Amino acid sequence: MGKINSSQLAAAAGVLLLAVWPLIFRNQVQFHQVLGMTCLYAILALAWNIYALSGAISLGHTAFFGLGAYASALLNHHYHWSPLCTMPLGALAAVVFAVFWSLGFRRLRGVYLGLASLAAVEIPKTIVDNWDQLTYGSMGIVGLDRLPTLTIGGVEMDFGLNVTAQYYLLLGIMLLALLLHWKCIRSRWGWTLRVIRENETAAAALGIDSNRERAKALMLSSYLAGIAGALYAHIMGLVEPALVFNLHLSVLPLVFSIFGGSTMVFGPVLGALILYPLEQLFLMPLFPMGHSALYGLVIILTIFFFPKGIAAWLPAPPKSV
Amino acid sequence: MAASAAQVCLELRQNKKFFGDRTILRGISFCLEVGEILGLIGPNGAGKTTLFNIISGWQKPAAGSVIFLGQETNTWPPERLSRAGLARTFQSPQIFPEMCALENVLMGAWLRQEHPPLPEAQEEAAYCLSLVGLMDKGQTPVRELPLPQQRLVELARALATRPRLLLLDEIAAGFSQAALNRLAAGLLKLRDQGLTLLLTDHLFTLLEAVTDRVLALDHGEIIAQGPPADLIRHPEVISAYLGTRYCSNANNGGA
Repeated sequence: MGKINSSQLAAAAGVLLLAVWPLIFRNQVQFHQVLGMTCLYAILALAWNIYALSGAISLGHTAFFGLGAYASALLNHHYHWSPLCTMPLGALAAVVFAVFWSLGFRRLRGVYLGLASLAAVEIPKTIVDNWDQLTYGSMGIVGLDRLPTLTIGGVEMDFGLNVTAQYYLLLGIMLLALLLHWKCIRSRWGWTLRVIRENETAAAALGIDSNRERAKALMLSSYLAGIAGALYAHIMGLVEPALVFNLHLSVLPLVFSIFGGSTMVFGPVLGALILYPLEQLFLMPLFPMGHSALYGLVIILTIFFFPKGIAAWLPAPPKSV
Repeated sequence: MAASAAQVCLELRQNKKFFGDRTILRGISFCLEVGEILGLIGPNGAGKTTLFNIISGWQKPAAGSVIFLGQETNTWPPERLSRAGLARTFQSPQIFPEMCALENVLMGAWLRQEHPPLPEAQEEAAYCLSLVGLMDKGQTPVRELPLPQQRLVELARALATRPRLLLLDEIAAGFSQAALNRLAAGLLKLRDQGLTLLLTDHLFTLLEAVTDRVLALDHGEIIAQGPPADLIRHPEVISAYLGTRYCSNANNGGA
């Protein structure tokens, strides 16, 4: 066992705080709900960032989110399968789209890739919008099965309707996603993504196939974004094209990641944990008219003064490489 | 070309390259034996870098073939050639700017296809950095190093991939005489360890010190080849580099 360093200690304290606070503020249900959604968007931000680790800036992750949501919803609606089964299966639809994305956009980089990814969202959205017999078009699908109730360690957790239970579920999945993100950064493969991000020519000179590694990152990223979408569908109990194929959902993970620090293990999560509750719990109630402007100002100032993101303030882990 | 197939590291047969109407390479053929250091000279625009790019997979020849360690590699992408044992450096060094010098070299050792364990790769990276004399700069962010030292980091990283053939594109540009001497000694040592080298440089001093043979390129064709001491007196080479006016001087022993 190695010695515990300050970075690990800070992470453990953070996790403990996230696990304990709802037990202290038991009646603050609105907080539980907002923090639950924060965890969901943090999963999306981690997903987005896994692709960004290879130097790719996507403006189309809502496509994966929406496909995961719709595929899971369709399996549940038409075949009445449990969400526990439809969610991991439905997220595979996002991976299929990621395969076409990787093939189609393999020559695109930088702003061109960003623009193409923005446009790519229109393909699944248009199909879902117009395939009335299957998807009910822009009406969407309502009455989806909620997440089931499970008994864990003698405690009954109603993940379907109890927002506190939902919070703990989303927190758990977020921590798993964070673990995956940590592995993506600290492993040999993580360094492969980093060299691609820093210099593709030099990466190729080391024998690294940038397109293949970036496609792998996108597969992983799309699956995680698909899971986030599927969770969203069954927590809300409905899907609509305008709701799940929404530019806002493409921008949100980008903002969270860059604000938090897109090259840092905790960056995307920190970004989500700060920005989403800040907007939902403080700026919106206190400044109902100007909250968006203030939200923007906070982001601009942070990026201006701390270009590497909030996570750069954390105690640095010892150099692993 | 008397080398047997087993000894040939690289062979080019009638390589041609055109950019639009311009002919860049007009049928280049040569053979590089295992353990040989071959130099490539020529004025700007002679086609040296294009030839390097074709050998290392960054450009495809319009005609002809490239044979590396017995396999035709014309259509191979650079990463495949690199995995097969061909490493190169670039005229403008291709570094990982956010990493320190040691990390740059470590990427060469750790990410190579045999996937060595990290401690072994770290040891090897430190060794390669010491080979180029930059051990004291290991923790310096590589973007803060002067250009000649960035070139050395790139060389160390290429060595860390354990190549069979190493291509050095004007590696000594901007080097002091002392640095040049150290580099020359280092390259000879690497050759003694079995590495095959192909290098191009405008500094004839380096080529003279290390190469067994030099090819002179002009307008996309080989105009002369031989030991560096002979080539420097070759009228066509002098003419290509300095113009015909100097050629007659050279013949009179006045170059």
